[in-house]
Parts: sequence; C-alpha cells; structure tokens
Amino acid sequence: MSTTMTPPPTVVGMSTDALSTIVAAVQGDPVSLAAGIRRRVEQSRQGTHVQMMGGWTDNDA
Amino acid sequence: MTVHFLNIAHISEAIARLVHAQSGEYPQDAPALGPAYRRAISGLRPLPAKGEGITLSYEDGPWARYCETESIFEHIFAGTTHSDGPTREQWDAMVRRAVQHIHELSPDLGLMVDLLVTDVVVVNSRSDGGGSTNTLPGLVVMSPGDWDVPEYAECLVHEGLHTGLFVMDMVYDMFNLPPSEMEKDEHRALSAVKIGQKRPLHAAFHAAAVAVPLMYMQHRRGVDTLVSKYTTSLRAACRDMKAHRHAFTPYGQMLLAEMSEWAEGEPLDFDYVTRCISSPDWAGFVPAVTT
Repeated sequence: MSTTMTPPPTVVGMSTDALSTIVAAVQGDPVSLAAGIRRRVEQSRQGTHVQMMGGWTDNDA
Repeated sequence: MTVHFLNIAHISEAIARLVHAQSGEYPQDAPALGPAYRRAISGLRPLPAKGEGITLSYEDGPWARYCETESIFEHIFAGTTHSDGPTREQWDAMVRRAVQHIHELSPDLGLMVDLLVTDVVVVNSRSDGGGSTNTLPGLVVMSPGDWDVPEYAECLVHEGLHTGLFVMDMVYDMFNLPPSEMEKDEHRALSAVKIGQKRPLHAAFHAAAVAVPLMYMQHRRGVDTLVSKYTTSLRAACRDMKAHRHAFTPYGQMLLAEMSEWAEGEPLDFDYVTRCISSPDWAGFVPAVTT
C-alpha cells in the first residue's frame, strides 16, 4: 500500500529558445562524427532486435 | 554531477546528431527537431512516422502484422485477443490523457515523449506492460489491462526513455560489447526492477535508467510506491553494474557513474532530478570521434 505524500509545486520546462540554441549548436560538430553514427546505426539494424519490455510477467528489462 | 540521459538538452542534441548523420541536414531549431527526427527514422524502419503526434494501432494493424512476421515481441502478440471499437476508443482517450498528464508532471519529460514516441500499438495481451526495440525507433507496444492514466503515462515515459537510450547508444556508443555478448553469464548484472535477478548488462542498465523517471513521476504525484519498491534495488543494480565498468565505453561509464551517484542519495533527491531533466547547464556534450 502506498503512502500518499503532498505533491511538490509545478515545474517549468526549458524554454523553446534555449533548446533551439542548443539544437543549432551541434552544427559545430566535427565532420567525422556522422560517419561513426551511421556505422552504429547500421550495426544495430544488422544485429538482433534488442527488445526492452517493462511490466510483463516475464521478459522484463 | 547530472543525469545526462534524462536531460532534455542532451537528448535533443543526440537526436539532432542522428538526424544529421542520416540526412546530411541539421535541424535548425527545437520545433524542427521532431519532424526532422521522424523523417530520419522513417528511413530506418518498415513503416514511416507521421509528422507529429502518436499514431495508434491495434492487434490487426500494420505494426502488429510486421512484428508477428519478424518474430518481434512474440510472446506479446501471440497472446493477444481481439479488441472492439469501444475498447479502442477508450485506449485512444487514455493515451491522449496520459500525454497531457506527463506534460503536467514535467514539461520536458513530456517533450521527450513527444520527440521519441511516434507510434503505439495497443493490444489485449496475457499480461500488462510495454515494449520497444532498437530496430524500430519510435514504436511502443502496450498492453494496458485495467490501467488508469498514471500507468499509461508511466509506460509512455518508460518506453520513451528506452527508445531515447537506443538513440544515445547509436550516437555516442555505450557499450564495448555487442548485445549477444552481454547475454552471457559473466556480463549479467542485477536488475533494478526484477529484484534479485541478473539480466544482460545492457538490459540491466536500461532497467535502472528507466526506473529513475518512473520514481520521479510518482514523486511528483505524491505517491511513493515505486520509490519504496526500487530505492534499494536501484542502488544494488548500480553497484553491480559498476563491477562491469570495463564493458561500458567512457560515455556509458559516465552515464552509469551519474546514475549511481544519484542513487546513493539518502533520501533520493527528486528536486535534483527536476533540474537534471530541464537545465541547459548540461548541454554541449562533445563526443569523442570514434571510427
């Protein structure tokens, strides 16, 4: 049985402007970074399906 | 110390980098990130992602048929029964309410779900729960049983973060071993949620990581069920995974160290999780270039 507690106050998320600045900043990445990402993407597609499951009676992650 | 894997800036940077790697183009701003990600993952999976929102389908839909054909989530789809119109309408309404509930609890956990979850297959299966897989980014399978809105919400965040961890793994590389190697006994570690059980290391890491926002969501709601249930096992899982540090890349070790440090807090500091999720202070992670 859970113990009910007093909910904390509301939270404010990051502003869209701040997140936009962060998203745009990755344009400064080294050119070679993308090649490594593509390699790992292809490896994950070629490999077995890694399945994560929560709450099932068996095969939980 | 932060918990990078929960930070919306860190997640967004990873998504932007994946988009660029796949398309050659960078998303120009935050509103462009979601549509760009959906275009990128549409090239990685058999069915495209729509431009926005969560597309729902059921046991007779194209995703269910694809998963059955490819033997993905076999035990889930093998045990499904037919769902009728009223049931599906109720599921649709609950998913929409759950998304709203997530945004109310945490706007940036809500943004994470908006970015990462594109399709949900809802079914009546033999047991209740959710699932996602690294080869089908954006897809979540859900069997809700008699869940209420908070449980739908927890499932969306749970599976959404799994898919986010898959993205982070593709972009930054978390492990030195392939999943098949981590299935072996010598690479298993305690699960934070299947208490006392050893799981493949990558599964143990995922289980521990997704336990954090679930405990956080319940804390935000004023409920301590999962906090009471998982605090000790999360600590034990982190300590056990640290014995396998060699199997994590430097990036993976960073994530593990951050989560482990937070998990040792007494009591667990959920105000800090609020900051971890939304602070821009931990943006700007620069990965090592690996060949």
